[in-house]
Amino acid sequence: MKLKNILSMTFILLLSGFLSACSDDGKKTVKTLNISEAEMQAGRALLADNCSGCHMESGDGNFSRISQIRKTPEGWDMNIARMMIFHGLDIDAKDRRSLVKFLADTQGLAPSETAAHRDVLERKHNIIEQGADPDLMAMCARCHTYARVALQRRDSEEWQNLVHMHLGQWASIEYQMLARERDWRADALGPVSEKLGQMYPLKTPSWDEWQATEWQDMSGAWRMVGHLPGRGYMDGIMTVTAVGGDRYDVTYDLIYSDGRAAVGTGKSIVHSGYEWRGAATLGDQKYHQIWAASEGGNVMTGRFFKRDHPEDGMIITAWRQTADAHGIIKQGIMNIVPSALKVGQETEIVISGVNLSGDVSIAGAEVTIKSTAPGRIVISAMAEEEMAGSVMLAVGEDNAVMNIYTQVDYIKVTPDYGISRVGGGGGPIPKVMAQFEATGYSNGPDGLANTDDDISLGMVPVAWSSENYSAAAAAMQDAKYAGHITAEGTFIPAIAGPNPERKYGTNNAGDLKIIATYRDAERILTAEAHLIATVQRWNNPPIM
Amino acid sequence: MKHLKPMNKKAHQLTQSGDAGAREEVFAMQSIAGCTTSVDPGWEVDPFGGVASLCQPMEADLYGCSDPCWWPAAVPDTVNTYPDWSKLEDTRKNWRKLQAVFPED
Repeated sequence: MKLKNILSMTFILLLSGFLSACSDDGKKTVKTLNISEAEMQAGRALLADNCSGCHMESGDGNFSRISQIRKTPEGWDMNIARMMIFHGLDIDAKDRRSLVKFLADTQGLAPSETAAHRDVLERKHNIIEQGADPDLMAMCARCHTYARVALQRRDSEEWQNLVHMHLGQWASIEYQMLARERDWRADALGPVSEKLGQMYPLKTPSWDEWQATEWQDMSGAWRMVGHLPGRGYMDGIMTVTAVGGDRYDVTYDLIYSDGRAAVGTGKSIVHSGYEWRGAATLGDQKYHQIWAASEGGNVMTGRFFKRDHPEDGMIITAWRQTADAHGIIKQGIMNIVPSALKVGQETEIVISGVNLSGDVSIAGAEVTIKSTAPGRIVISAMAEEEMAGSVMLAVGEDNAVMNIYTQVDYIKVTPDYGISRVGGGGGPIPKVMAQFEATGYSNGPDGLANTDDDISLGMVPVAWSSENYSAAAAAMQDAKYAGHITAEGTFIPAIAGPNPERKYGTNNAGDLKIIATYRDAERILTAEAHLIATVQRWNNPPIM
Repeated sequence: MKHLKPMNKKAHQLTQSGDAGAREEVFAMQSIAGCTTSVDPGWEVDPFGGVASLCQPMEADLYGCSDPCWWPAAVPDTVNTYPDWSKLEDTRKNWRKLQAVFPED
């Protein structure tokens, strides 16, 4: 072999070795970042095509204003919507979805960064945000939720830019009540932006660590349990098949505690490695899902709600019942319905879980098995003796707490302060219902109500009624006009629009008292909640 | 409040709520997620946590408030953001034509 050929061969071998090392290293990089180079390039191309007309691209691949922010998928979608509204961005739906996916994956929030504000993200109704910094609440949460702020990450300078945007866009912001008694602009640009930058900075160890964690594939069969406030429970199976790009085809086979069954299909996507967003059709009803996967990827929690009525939905937990990518298989009890057993009353109980096996027992109760499957065991139980208190329900090696009681001592209504909105009446905005639920309690060992040892007995059946909340409400006959509450505790507001029958032709709004009445033989227990049946809103972004 | 006397019904209500120690309750009500309470009155909730002191029927003078961005998170502001939203004549009569503004995907 000539020297030239030897050198050429050596060069080729060295080059192939180098490329091979690059390839391995490349895979490692992809694995670490959870996003491939091709996805990275496609995302940057989308940013360049749709955003670079205003947002300057720098040599390092950053775009002005965009690269200095991290958000949830909904936060990014609202950003794009704002660009459409404010600046006439023309973007097709597919590109909008792809941009949300790219931005949420590369500039998202870690699971620990969204944990405190998931109620708002999941569109739970009747949430009262508590415990947040009072200065920030006063500055931000009197127009929109505090969660909208706390689900973003920026440095102080970028928070200041957000203040400038508010000042430019909403000219009267400084002069509104609770703004005009102080130097709003100086507060917003000074201490508030400073505090936000400290509390919610762009760069955090949580996000760095989450990006360096291997994000899990969600494929497999999942056992799902749910609670429909005021109405009952659900359990079922969800089968998830990966179709690439963190997207999944899903089938559902559910059964509700009133015996109704529901089957359907859907499509889901996972953003930021854990933010499961789904669309599903069960029967003729369309649903959306906003769930979070656990960091290990074998548990998901969140809300499963009607697309056109986000207030109407169930709170779910799902466990992967098949082996995950690491061969891990979960096992255990997920839910017991009902979770309390009345002494002397034969009660059918559904135990839902994953890979359940073995004998079923409840300490202090006689148990008869009615049907058994690895995910759902139906028993009949009777607590013969007075064993009032918390006892253990066991299925083989798995345990869960079961409460035994002699009587419901008092009840509570949740939410204790609720909101509904008028709608319909020929207008485009649907009514927003309010769902109430009554929970029974036992006084516990100390025999006193509302103390730490009280035992929740779960949802109890009650009769529902509504009344005027105050003298002002009575004078306006609010209870007559504002709507009615069903036997399931659903308040259905009246139609929108001025009502010529009412004084001043006012809207069908009302200030109401919601009353739950529980009857057990001769005993009658009542509890109340406050409902504002109020007006509609026309701006309904995913984070209010 | 020693030198101030309530002169109308709303002022009396404010005084009474202060006397009854309801101020904390009023503050707590301000943080119902998604409600706009920052102006006088708020959009969904009045300072007493109810609806009696809201501007109603809201269709009667809607643009008088939405034009100057009075509740921009709930009601489209028509100065900068949604100028077309204020083109309806007589919202009291034509309120059914008012559309939601968030561009859904």
